[in-house]
Amino acid sequence: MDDRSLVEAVTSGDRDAFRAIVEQEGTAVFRTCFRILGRVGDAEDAAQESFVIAYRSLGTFRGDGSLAGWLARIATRQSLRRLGQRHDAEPLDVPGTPGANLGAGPDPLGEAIAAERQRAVRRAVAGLREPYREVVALRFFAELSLQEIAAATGRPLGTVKTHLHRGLGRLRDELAGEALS
Amino acid sequence: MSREPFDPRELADGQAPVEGAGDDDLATVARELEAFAAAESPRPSPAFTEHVLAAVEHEPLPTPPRTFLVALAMLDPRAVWRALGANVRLAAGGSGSGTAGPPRLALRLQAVALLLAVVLIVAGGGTAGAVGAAAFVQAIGNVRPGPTQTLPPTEPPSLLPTTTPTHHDEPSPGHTETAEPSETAEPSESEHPDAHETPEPSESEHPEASEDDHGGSGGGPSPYPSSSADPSDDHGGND
Repeated sequence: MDDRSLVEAVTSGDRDAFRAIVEQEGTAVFRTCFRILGRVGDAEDAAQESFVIAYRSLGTFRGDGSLAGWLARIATRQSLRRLGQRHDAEPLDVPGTPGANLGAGPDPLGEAIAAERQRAVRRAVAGLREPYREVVALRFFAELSLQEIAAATGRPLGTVKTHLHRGLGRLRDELAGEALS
Repeated sequence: MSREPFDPRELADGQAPVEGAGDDDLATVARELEAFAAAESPRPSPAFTEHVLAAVEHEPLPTPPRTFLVALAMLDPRAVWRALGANVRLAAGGSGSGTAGPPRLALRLQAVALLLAVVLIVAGGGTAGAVGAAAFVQAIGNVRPGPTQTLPPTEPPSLLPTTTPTHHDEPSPGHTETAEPSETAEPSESEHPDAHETPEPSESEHPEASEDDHGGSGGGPSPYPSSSADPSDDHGGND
């Protein structure tokens, strides 16, 4: 079934159609949330919340873009909102977070450096201003194409390109500063 | 989903180049983001799907009319607008969710009823607003004449002192003379009756003068005989 048929089936009362959507897009939505939030538990909560919001809003899905892009945008916004509400420091020993199980591999120093770099990347993306942050997250965390981003956000393709260009430029400056520090 | 690696040529039409950020710089950042995404690609727990389905189990069906009400309750104007559009599409015969196939009749009737209710509410609100605005304007109009009626008594005293000092400061005789003619206008009117009285005897003189001056020029009864009666008139028949 294609996206339109699935949505039509759900709005007609077919719960199994929604199960098919969750099974089809669940992993991608969860990964998007995890790349933004960095914790498995938070990512699952955010992904579940995203699907609930999507279910309630399925009546407004126009089908102009892909269902995957529509869901990815909801997940990205939910995750960024959760990230903004988070005040505690990121623990190192939570499974699924970068830095967990440090010293277990053959190159603990390399793993520690890589984990720190991943945290720096996540911080840099989270620190971007809107709309650059959303476009960068949709392109690299949700792995959407520029056309999919344009359809999901309702922005012209040229605007999406400009936002991504500027977002990457600012990320370059931010990550260069992180590397120096 | 795009699994293709980032290529700076994707941004070829980008309208705002970042100063100092060339294609290589952008590609380097993009490679780092892609490496990050590849390293951070866990899978959700096996029970994830069941958790999601359990979360939506008690949710009502996401039909366009229902979505509109939810958006309205959330006071989200953009969601309300989108849901309204979905209901319009559904009522017009298409699927509210943009999907193919004819919608169910009951669902379509719900959308039509909802749109009618929205139209009635909007029209009623507009009418009430217009009536309220008219009443407000009328109330203001009723309040304003009060001050305007009280103003005229205050204005004449304020005008008279301002004019009289200026008259007194400046050469007073000239201004007092200009003020007087308005009063002397009445006497001048009283002179007119005298003038009306004097023409009566002169009317008996005019016909004679007019007949003599114009001769056969064919002039009709002239209401201004005195001017043509002057001997200085070139058209006169005295030549």
